[in-house]
Amino acid sequence: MSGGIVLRTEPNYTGIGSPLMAFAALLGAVVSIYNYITPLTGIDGTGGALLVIISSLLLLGAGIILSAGWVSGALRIILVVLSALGIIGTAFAAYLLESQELLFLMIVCALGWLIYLFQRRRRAPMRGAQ
Amino acid sequence: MSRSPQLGKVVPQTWAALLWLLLMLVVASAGSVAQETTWPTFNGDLKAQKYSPLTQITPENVGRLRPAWRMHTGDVNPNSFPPPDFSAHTRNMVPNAPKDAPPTVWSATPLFVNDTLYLGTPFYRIFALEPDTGRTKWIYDSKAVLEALTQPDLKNRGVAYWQAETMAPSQPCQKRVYIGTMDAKLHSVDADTGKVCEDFGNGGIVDLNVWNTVNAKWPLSILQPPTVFKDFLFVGWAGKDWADEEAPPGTLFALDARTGALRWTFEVLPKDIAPKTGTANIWASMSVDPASEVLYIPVSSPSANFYGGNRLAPLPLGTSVTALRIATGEVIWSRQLVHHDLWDYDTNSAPTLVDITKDGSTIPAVVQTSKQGFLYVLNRETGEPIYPIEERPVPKTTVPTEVSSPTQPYVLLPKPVVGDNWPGLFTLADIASLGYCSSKAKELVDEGRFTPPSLKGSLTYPGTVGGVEWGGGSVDPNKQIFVVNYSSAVMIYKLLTREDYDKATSTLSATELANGGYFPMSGAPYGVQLTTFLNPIGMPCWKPPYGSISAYDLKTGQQLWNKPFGQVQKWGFYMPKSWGSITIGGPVITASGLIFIGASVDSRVRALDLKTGDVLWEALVSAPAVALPAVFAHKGKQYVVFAAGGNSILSPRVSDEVVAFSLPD
Repeated sequence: MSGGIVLRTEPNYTGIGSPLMAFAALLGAVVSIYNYITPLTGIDGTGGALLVIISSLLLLGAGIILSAGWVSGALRIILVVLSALGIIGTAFAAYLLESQELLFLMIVCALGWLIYLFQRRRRAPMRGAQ
Repeated sequence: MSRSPQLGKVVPQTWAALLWLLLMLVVASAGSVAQETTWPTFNGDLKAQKYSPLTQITPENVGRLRPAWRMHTGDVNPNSFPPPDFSAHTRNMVPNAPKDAPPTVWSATPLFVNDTLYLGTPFYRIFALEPDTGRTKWIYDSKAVLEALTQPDLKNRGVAYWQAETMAPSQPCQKRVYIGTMDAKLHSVDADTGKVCEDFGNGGIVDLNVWNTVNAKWPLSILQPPTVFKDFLFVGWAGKDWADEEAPPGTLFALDARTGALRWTFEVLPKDIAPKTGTANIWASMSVDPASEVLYIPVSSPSANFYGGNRLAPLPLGTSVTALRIATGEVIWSRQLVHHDLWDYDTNSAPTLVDITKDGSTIPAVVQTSKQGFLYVLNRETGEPIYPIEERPVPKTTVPTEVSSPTQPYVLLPKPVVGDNWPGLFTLADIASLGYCSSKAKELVDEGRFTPPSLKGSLTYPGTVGGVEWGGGSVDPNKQIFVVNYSSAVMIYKLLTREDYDKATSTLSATELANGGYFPMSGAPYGVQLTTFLNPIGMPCWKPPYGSISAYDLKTGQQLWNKPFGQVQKWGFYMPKSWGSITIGGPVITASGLIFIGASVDSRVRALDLKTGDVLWEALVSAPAVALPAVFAHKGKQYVVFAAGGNSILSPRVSDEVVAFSLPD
């Protein structure tokens, strides 16, 4: 993995990947809160809806931290891996909760995560070449 | 002015064309305007067919069904689940509802009759609503005691309606609505005004508990509305489940609909044996053949429900379907469905009356669904089976002082809705519990259908939740197709010696006792522990589907289709559709070829295609709709109305919502 090197060489780098991830997670949290508090969503007041509120907020936090470049090295790698697990888990929960909106937002979130990953991978050798 | 010869030809042609157009318009509008129909009883009619002749909503347009209105009665105590719509609740909230009232469950079928929709609530109030708007016409408050005197929850299955055959002009109470209460007070109320009918009983109330004189360890409760025929009210009762060996015996009361006077009683248990046992009561709805004036009653099991050493004498009417002469209460015939019942296999729904065409002749039939999963198709004049029923040897009890029946009636046709053996281990649940399910299954006694309760613990399939519950089945009397939803629930019945029971329960709170499935059967040498066979994280240890729906051709007894029905929902997560759902509540068939049903854990109501069982439409309501929908037409529009009340057997989600669905204008 080249992540650690990249972060050392470019601590304040931000692409569109992690902000997109954060934005989708924010919308996911909003959708989940709506589902939790609104009657007749089918999942109002349920533990599952509460769980995806929390996971969406955690993803939002992860997106913000990655966007701001507040972590580096192993911590960043851990955060990136945990974000991936969070996105997969939240998407699976959204599927079981039959929350199509949240599922769509998690796909967007995953897209943001992939962009973040590949943008960084692409930029790392370029920085090295300079 | 001379008349043009050309005009002379045109005018008659124009008139003819206009007339033709008018005629077509009339025909077209007649097709879209539903003929006025009512839903005057819990089961839609006295025969418990749960059938509507309406055709406005069809398989083709049912997808467009929308809520016409929703309303909340305010009569709900959700216990653990927050009320789904608090702002709406406050509108009709009972101001003096005690804060510590028990939780509510609500299995009412709305009635539509007298141009009004009538509902009884678990706070024992009657709501009269406008059928097209849901607006309240009047509310009657019985001011009933809101305590769980018998059942663990405040419970109601709606109201009954009566009207005089000949109306006395300008006299009140020519049309009446009746509601029973947890302490078995039957209230009679004017259907037009909501005012009490003072001429009924004592100031409008008949107290069934004045006749509760044998083993009166707890009061009787009227939770199921009476069955009404002519000037008779037939009133059964509910009691405390599995609490005592000696309990109030299952008397059925026939009352005068106007005065509340007792016309006759019917005793299920012989007088000399009744004091040693009890129950065998009629707690579900009943049906009536208006032509022959016969009452058909579903009789529950005698106490103690899982031990019968106290009732070894034959009790031929216990766990039976029985036909009574309406005028006198005399038994015409009775068929015992379970001998010496040790499983709490109460006959639990109104027998469905229908004429069957078989081998070229028409047979007056009664179809009785059951917790044990058999569909008994009998000649309703004689009680004799139309399709074969045989006595089969069954497993013998190992419990000291118990003597189980060596045989039980076994229905060969129609095919039982549940099999003879439990569905087998669910690998996912076993893995998720690190082998708990498989090791527990090995500990249990399992000899297939009718394995008696044991001290070791018996794997019981189906358990007391069914099979088929109180919704029963429905029939299309023209097509002679019978539809029934059912659950596949595996339970563990474990008897504990009195000493062991006392030791296990001495430090437990009431909630812990209920959660642990402990029931004392006081007076018997054993208590009982009833548990559903779940792993420690709450997954069923048996293979899905957990609930399905089937259709049968009554002309041949053959199953037409069988589909998993509903979805299980846990913590909000929906499980796969192929798993189905435990169901409580029944189906209604319409002449257009639709089945309307709630009943599932996921709080959805659905319309199915009668031909295939495919789901054509579904909608979300506030809680599982655990009775039957009312299907009727008013002002040319067909409505399907569900009371979404919920039941803690299915899910903690309960509500006070009533939802009417119709096609958009």
